[in-house]
Order: sequence, then structure tokens, then C-alpha cells
Amino acid sequence: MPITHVDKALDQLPSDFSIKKLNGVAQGAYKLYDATAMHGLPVAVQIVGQRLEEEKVLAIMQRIEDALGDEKYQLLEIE
Amino acid sequence: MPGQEGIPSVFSPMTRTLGDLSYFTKSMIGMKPWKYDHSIHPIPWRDDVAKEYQEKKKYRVGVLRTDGVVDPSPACARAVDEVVAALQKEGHEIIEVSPPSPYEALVIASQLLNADGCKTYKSFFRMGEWEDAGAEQMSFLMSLPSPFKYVYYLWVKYVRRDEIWAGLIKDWKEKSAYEQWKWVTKREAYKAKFHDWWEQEAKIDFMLTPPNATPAVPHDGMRDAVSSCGYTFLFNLVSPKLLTFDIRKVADLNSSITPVA
Repeated sequence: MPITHVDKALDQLPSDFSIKKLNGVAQGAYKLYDATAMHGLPVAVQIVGQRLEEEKVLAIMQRIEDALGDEKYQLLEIE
Repeated sequence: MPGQEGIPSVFSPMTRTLGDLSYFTKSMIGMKPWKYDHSIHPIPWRDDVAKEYQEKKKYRVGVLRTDGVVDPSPACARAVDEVVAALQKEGHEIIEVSPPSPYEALVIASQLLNADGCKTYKSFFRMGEWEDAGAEQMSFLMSLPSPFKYVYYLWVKYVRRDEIWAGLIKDWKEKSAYEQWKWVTKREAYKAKFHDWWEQEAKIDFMLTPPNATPAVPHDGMRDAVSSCGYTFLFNLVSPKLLTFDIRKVADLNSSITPVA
């Protein structure tokens, strides 16, 4: 479920970050990570239940959304 | 999807709001889809389960902060932190979990997904159709003659000292039926291990994880990021066929990330 947006002020890679030190899978992913270019994109979390637990997971997601209160994900305006 | 049944695909609705998603899911199940689709479990909507979790005072939440393959980017880690903080404020119990190796699941899943050497899915192409950038990477490696691949593997493992990537490409080839069944056995063993871990050891109500290491990537970005799909691929492996849809996938609303499975 979406939680927040990428923020160029908050989400920059640390200054000592080096892509060369990462494994091959991570390098592929991080080659594309750019908090400035991605500023504003939605960022989500994943809520995982066991198999066949749709009702439970949906109920939990609702509780999480309520718990986030005013901090909850803001939808884009529809014109 | 034909040819990719080693790890079944999950089809899921993407909705604008959580209310839409609940409405859709409940309506779909209300239509008794098992009457016309043989693959669906005949389980009606369970209001009692929904009610139980709407009212449960204290959840036991397992947080998986990284799959040990690709650590989440700062933005994705921050989203998890925000949810943890909100849940803590409500008094829920948060524990850090480490399920059976997600890397092991990624290896098994990637071997099984295209055990046919990417042949079946390619057989459906019509003239002028092409693979997306991610699938192209997979079938390119698949088609390399094995001596080249072996040299590449040795170079990755011993020169670059990258055990993670080396372990993924080691057996990256078309498999015989016999080899395929060996991987299926590994898959079932992993699923059993994961289930036992969840029920006996973690005993959690649900798990909270990033859905991907990075936010949505640009078009054709999957060329580079194709193997970085462990946060969702893991669950395609352990619990496929959640009726017709997997709500976890929907979780990344608006996002254009499409894991290969």
C-alpha cells in the first residue's frame, strides 16, 4: 500500500555509498535510483499474510491507514 | 502463464484507494468465481475473519527490512519506518524477523520460472513482437553457449567475488525434465520451511516489507533491474494462487514496477 512519496531532501543515498561494492543484482537496481529524478514518485510497503488470507490482509491495511492518520498517503488530485 | 508455471503468475487489480480494492475483492468473491473458473478455491468471503482483524487489539507484526540481496533504497526504507512508527504508537508489537533465506527463494524461483530456456513464452510471439528489456536479459544469458557462461560465472565468483550474482547465473540454462523436477522438490521444501517458520517460530499476524528495493524505474529500466524482484518473487514462490489475485501486489499502487512473474 502506498505510504509516501520520494523526497529529494530526505531520500538521497549516503555520501559514502558506492555502487561498486554491491552485488550484481543490487547494482542493477541502484544504477537507476536517483532521489532527485524520482522526486514525487509513490513509495509503498507490502503487507504479507499467509495464503488465502485476503479478508485479514485487507482489514489490516485499513487499520494501518487509520493508524497513519493525517500522515496517510495523499492521492493525486483528479481534475 | 504457459511455460512459467514453475512459479505461477498472480493477476491482481490495481486500484486508486484501499476502499476500491476491498470493494473489488469482495464483489469478485461474491460472484462465486469458482463456478466458472476451475482454478479457484470455493471459499466465500469470510466476514468473521475480517471482523476479527478489524477489532484485534494488538497485532504481532514481523518487519523484514531487507531480503539480504538488495537493501531497500532510502525512500523505501523510510516508508517502512513510517508504518512501524504508526503501528508502535497504536501499541502493536513489532518484531524484526528473518525468514528462511529470501536469497535461496530467489535462486529457486528464477531457475524454475524459465526452466524451458524461455522457449514457451517466446513461442507466442508474432512477427514484429519483442521481449521487454528485462525478459531480453534473461533469454540472452540463457542462450549463451555453456562454456562462455561458465567462464562468466567463474569471473563473477572469483574475480568480482560476487557470490550472490554468481549463484543466480550458475544453473541459468534450459533444464531437462529431470532437472526441473529436482528444482520443484527444492521449491516445495522451501515452501514447507517458510510455512513452519511463520507458524511455529515467528507466530506473526502479518509481515511488513518493502515491495521493491527502489521506487518505480524508468521505461526499459528492467534491463538492469530484472533480477531485483526478490521482495515480491519470494511470495509468488511460497503462496501462489491467492484466489485469483494477490493483494500484496496491488500494494504498490500507481507504481509501474512489473516483476517478471
